[in-house]
Order: sequence, then C-alpha cells, then structure tokens
Amino acid sequence: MEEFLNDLIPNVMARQDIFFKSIRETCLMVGWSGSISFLLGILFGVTITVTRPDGICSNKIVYHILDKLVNFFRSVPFIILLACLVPLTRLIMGTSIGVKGAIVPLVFGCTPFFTRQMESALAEVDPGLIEAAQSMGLGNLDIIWRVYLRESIAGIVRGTTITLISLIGLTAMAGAIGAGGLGNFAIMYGHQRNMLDVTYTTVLVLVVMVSLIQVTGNYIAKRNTH
Amino acid sequence: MEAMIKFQHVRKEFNSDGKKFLAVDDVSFDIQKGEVFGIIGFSGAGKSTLVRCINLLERPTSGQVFINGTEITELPMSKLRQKRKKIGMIFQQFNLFASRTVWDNIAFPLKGSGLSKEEKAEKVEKLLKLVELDSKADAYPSNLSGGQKQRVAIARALASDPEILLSDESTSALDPKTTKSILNLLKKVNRELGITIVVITHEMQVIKEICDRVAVMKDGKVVEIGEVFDIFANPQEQITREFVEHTSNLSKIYELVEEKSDIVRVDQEQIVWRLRYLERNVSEALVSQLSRKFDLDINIIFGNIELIGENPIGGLVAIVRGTPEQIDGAIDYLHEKNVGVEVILDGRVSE
Ligand SMILES: Nc1ncnc2c1ncn2[C@@H]1O[C@H](COP(=O)(O)OP(=O)(O)OP(=O)(O)O)[C@@H](O)[C@H]1O
Ligand SMILES: [Mg+2]
Repeated sequence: MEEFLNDLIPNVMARQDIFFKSIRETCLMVGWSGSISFLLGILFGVTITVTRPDGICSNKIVYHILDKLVNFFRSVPFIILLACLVPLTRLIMGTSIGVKGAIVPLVFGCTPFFTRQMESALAEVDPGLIEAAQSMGLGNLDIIWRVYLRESIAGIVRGTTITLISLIGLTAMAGAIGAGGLGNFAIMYGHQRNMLDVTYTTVLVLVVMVSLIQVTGNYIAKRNTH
Repeated sequence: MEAMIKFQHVRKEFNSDGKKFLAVDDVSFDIQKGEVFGIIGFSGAGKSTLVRCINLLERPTSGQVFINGTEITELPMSKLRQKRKKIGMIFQQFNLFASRTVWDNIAFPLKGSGLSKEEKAEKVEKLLKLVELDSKADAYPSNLSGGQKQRVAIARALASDPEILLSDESTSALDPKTTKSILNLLKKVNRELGITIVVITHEMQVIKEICDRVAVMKDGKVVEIGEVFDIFANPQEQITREFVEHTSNLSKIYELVEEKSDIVRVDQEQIVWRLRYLERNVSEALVSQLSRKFDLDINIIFGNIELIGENPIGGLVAIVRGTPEQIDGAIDYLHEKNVGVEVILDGRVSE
C-alpha cells in the first residue's frame, strides 16, 4: 500500500508531516472562523429579521445600518478584503499571518454570507406562527428563541452547510497569501514547484471535506424536518 | 351581567403607501361573559382587525377596549402579555409549530407558568382527552388532518386557562363535516368550561350553529347586531338579508320563477307564496290549519326549517289553490299570526 502511494503521490508522501499539518490548519481555520461567523450570523440575521419594517420589534435605523453593512462586505472581493484587513488583524490577533492571522478576515468574509443565509431561513417561518406566539403572550426574546430559531433549524442547518463549504474555499484563498493550510500547501508545492500530485491530492482532500459537510448537513436537516 | 369584552368607539386606521384606510370605523358594543358571539361580514369588512384589537395584536388608532373591566388599551407591555395568556386564539391556518409534536404544541404555552412537570403533563393529558386526540400525542402536525390540526390548536389555546377564545375563520379551511365537529367542540368548550367565545366567519351556517348573538360588519362598521334568531327572522339591513338568504334554498324559487320552470306554473286559482317564520312560537300545524280553515290545497315546493336554539326558523314556498277570497283570508290570518307572506306568483292576476 505504502509503496503504491509512494509511486502515485511521491511528493505528498515525502512531505507527510507538512501535508497533515496543512489539513489540521485548514480544519482549525474553518472551525474557528466558522464558529465565530455562525454566532455572529445568527445574531445579525435575527436582528435584521426582527427589526424589519414589519418585524416584531421594527427599528428602521438598526435595520438599515446592518443591511447596508452586510451588503458592503458582501460586495468586496475576499482577496481585497484580506489585504484591507491586515492592520485590524494585527491589532486584534497580534499577527496577520498564519492560522491566527487568517481568522479575522475569514470571519469578515463569511459572516455577511451566513447572515443572508440566516435571513432567508428565518423568512421561511410562517408569520402566522409569530402571531400565534404573540397571542399567547410570549415576549420578543421567547419568540426569537422558541419560534424563529426553533422552527427554522432545518433551514439554518442548510445555510450553515452552504456557508461552511464556501468557507473552505475562502481558507484555501487565505492560504495562498500566507495563512497556511491546504491552500498554502497546494500553492507552495503544487503550483510553485510544479508538483502535480500535490495539487491533485489537495483537491481530493477538499472534495472529501466538502462532501462530508454536505452529507452531514443533509442528514441533520432531514432529521429536523417534520 | 358584566361585559367580558367592551369596545368603545374603536377605530383602526392603516397607513399603506401614504394612503389612509379605515379598517374599523367607530365600533362600540359589548360581548357578555359566557356567550358565543359571532362576527360576520364579507372579506375586507374589518372582522379580523376588530377581533385583533381584543388582544391588541392590532392596536386601535383611537377608542378603548375593556376586558373584564380592565382597559387593556392602557396596559403596559408586561401586563398586556399576562392578559393575553387569558385570551386564547385560533386561526384559519391552524398555526401549529411544525417542529413540535402534538404534545409539545399543547404544552407550549405552559412554559414559565409555574406548573410542575407532573402538573403540566396532567394538563396536556386532560386537554388531549377534551379534543379527543389522546392517540396522536406524539404525532407531528404535518401528519394530521385539517380537523385534527384545529383540535390541537384549540387544546393549545385552552392550555393557559383562558377566559376568552377568539376564533378567526377557524373552520373556513375545513369540509362541512369537519366544520361541524369543530363547532361542536367549541360549543362544548363554551358550555363546559364557561369560556366566552368570539367567532369570526363569513358563513351564516357557522353563526346559526353555535352563536348566541351576532354582529354584522360592513366597511369597518357594525351595521346590525342582535340575537341570532332575531337576525335570521327579521334581518334589517340589505347585507344581513343576503347572508340569511344564502343559508337556505328558499331563494332558489326566484331563479325558478325567472326561468319559468314547470314546477312553478300556476293557473287562475293558484298562487305561489313564501312564508317566513318571524316569531319564536310558530305552531307546527300551521299548514294543516290553513288548509282546513280556508279550504286551500297547499303544495309545498321548498321547505327550510331549522332550529336556532330551541326555536324553529326558516320558511317554506308553496303553491296554493283556492278561491281569491279564501286565499286573501289566509293571508290576513298569517299576518295576524305574524308569519311573513310574500306572494311570488299570482295566477289570479297574471292572465
Ligand atoms: N396591516 C395592514 N395594513 C394595511 N391594510 C390592512 C392591514 N390589515 C388589514 N388591512 C385592510 O383592512 C381591511 C380589513 O381587513 P380585515 O383583515 O380585518 O378584513 P376581514 O373582514 O377579516 O376579511 P377576511 O374575511 O378576508 O379575513 C382590508 O381592506 C385590509 O386590506
Ligand atoms: Mg380576516
């Protein structure tokens, strides 16, 4: 087996330690920035939903500020965002390179996307349910928690799946400019040193990661659809 | 008797696209404790808006609403939420939580009620029994029929022991048989639990079935209000008459006359009349009395007599044969008895 792999992907087998470290780094970046974006996206998505003109605590100012901010960050290409955020990243994390340096721009790149996913998941909650909850005397926080979030679990899971997959793409891009991870691995060896087996192996690992996320997401979404 | 719900000059104005729209226009009336009160009107009449002013899902632009003597239009939000728990509401689209089982839907309003787990379970159990869905406790709403969904919604609305139950077109999405069973359940809720019920509908049938009193709404105003029997027997407004006509097949006679149908062909000794029972004491033997007293042949074409509460209401359409004197005598007699007579076709003058 090992011999077979040595023949098939010699350059990867020769750098197994770097290869596995890259996978770990990618997982770390996706894990950290994904978790932070998840929480922020829920917060912003819920806030935008409830402050809408016809929302349960409509607030024009908050709604418009958040909405415009999300649009703004969505329209900046990630690669430019990476460059722009260097000073801020240094300020927050103390460094702008490596896994640590990648998390801030990844969060900035990912949160607006997930916020929109949250919005559309929440928009699928039947307004009649909100009305029913209000008629039962529930307060706004209870409505958010027990109706909005609870009733849209399947939608949130689907949005999370899409977001995680696009986040993997972003980490590869961040890797290209010094964040480490599989993107960095593929650029450094596959591209710059023209080791094709490195490139292909990286692609394969990414495809497996994406598929795993997709399958898990579908499963959880299905379990939560009644 | 003290009013359970009191509307005082309630107005509700909507502002859409800079245009003002008066959905509820200066409505004042009372709904008594323990009654089943109907609100009927065509689409857009303002029924839902008015009823949503009871639990302030819609806040009146001006005017006051009192619940059990408390002016709720004045209450701060926290007090209002407490009050809302005592006002259950059911909807046309059921509005059940799809991600929760029947059991969890019914238990939903009990969170934070201070009941222990056992007390909650006992309560849900009791409600399930009341709505006859014991066997469906673990089912999800998507696996229930429309009627079953509405039963769950009723149980959920009753979970916080409300004094009032608001029903906004709760049977409009259901077939006639299911409608009947839901109406019976509402009746039971009213009788056994003493809950005041406000029923919105656009079907007079529903009003006839369960309401004690009814208000007829048109263009945001209450145009007629009264006991269901009186409204049926003696509708004052054009719109009320339309609703009443719709519930019986008696008005078909006009179509038949229009079409010159064979059924209503009359000769010189015949007339077609329509009798309306307006009083609560119609004697069942009216027709045979007439035929004996005035020597008439009475051939009933349509009859539609139903009970509202304990009183028969409706009327009949019949072809009557007799001499002009006999017929006139009969008509006078009917007037005396306070039965409405309308001569639809008169063979005596038609030739
Ligand atoms: N939020 C709103 N904004 C603007 N107009 C509204 C709003 N809600 C209701 N209306 C208008 O108020 C009028 C009364 O509406 P309402 O829902 O009370 O009628 P309804 O009698 O319940 O009719 P239906 O039988 O169709 O339910 C309608 O013309 C409707 O368009
Ligand atoms: Mg309505």
